[in-house]
Amino acid sequence: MNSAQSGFSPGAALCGLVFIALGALFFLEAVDAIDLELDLLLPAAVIVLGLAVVLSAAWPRRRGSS
Amino acid sequence: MANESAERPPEPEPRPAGDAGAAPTEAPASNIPPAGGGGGGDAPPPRARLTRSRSNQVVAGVAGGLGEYFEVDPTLVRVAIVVLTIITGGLFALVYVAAIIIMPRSDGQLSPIVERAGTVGREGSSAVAIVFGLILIAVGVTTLVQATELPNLRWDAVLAVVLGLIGLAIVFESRRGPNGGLIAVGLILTAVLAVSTALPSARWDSGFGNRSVHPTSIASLDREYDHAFGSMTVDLRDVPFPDGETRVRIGIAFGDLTVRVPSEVAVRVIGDTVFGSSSVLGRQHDGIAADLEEETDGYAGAPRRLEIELSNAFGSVTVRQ
Repeated sequence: MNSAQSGFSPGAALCGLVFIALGALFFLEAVDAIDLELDLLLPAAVIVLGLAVVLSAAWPRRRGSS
Repeated sequence: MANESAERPPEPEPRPAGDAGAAPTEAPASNIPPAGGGGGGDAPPPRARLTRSRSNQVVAGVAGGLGEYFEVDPTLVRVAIVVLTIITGGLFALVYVAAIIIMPRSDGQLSPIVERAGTVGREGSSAVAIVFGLILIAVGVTTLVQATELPNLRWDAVLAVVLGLIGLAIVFESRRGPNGGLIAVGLILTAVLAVSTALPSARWDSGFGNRSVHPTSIASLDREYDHAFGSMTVDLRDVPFPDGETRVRIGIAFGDLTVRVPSEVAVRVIGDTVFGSSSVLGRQHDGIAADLEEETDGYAGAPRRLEIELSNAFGSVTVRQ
């Protein structure tokens, strides 16, 4: 994948992966397969989403400098 | 629906979207991106975009835009939206709100949320249409399964699958940059699922408006009372509770809940609220994520005991005799 020319956004990709993981966890909780601890899960999700924002902001600069 | 027709502007439009039979092959003018076409004779016709209509707008132009995109009468789309909202106990309204957020207007103006979140509406519009279609399919399949009484699908499970699909679409779209519309919808779905998970007894498809229940016998007493939006009053004062402990779960997602309990029965109340105030057996609880645990004097040794498990997301809770 030619990420430099296609405008690849690692932050968006990470954000999508977080939503996939959250969707899987919420589904397992809904069918009573697991018991979600929201007070642990949601802060962790917020941290990863923040990381996604930071990655999105940093990526074009790194691409331009190389 | 008569009102909707009356609200429509009377001036003639160049191509009524509902008149599919009159011009089946012509794309709606408002849906053609100005820069995409070119006037060449052999050039492929520009692709219609899924946008909110300005010329055929009653609320936000979603039904008008869908009608123009799929070349069906927008009135039929509005009827379908109303029917789906009723069938799904109001849950389809969330899909409508999501459509308002993710669909750009036909003049290119984005919703404020999407504008802040990033980019959508260029290459991303096809992914938005795909996700919107997947949401419609999920709602339809779930409603169908529930209507046929096959294995009971829970709405939060379906929403979780939709959230995963949106995540997949975001990953797919990330090759061309961030898709703010999809990310906004993902965040909204995550919030809905988080509240739904925090309040397991507050079912989102359980009802809207004002509800009042007043059982007068053990046979007519349900073990669970759920309400989604509005207010609910559960009057248990005339129930002849038997010896021993009787448990009742009462949940409301958004709104005010009032529970009346009999004075001759010992009462214990446990549960939680997310936002709002509560007055339980004379004690006040305020703040965010408050745990409720109150009981009348001598509860453990009382011959007749009523344990109420409460849950409330946003609103007030009152439990009194």
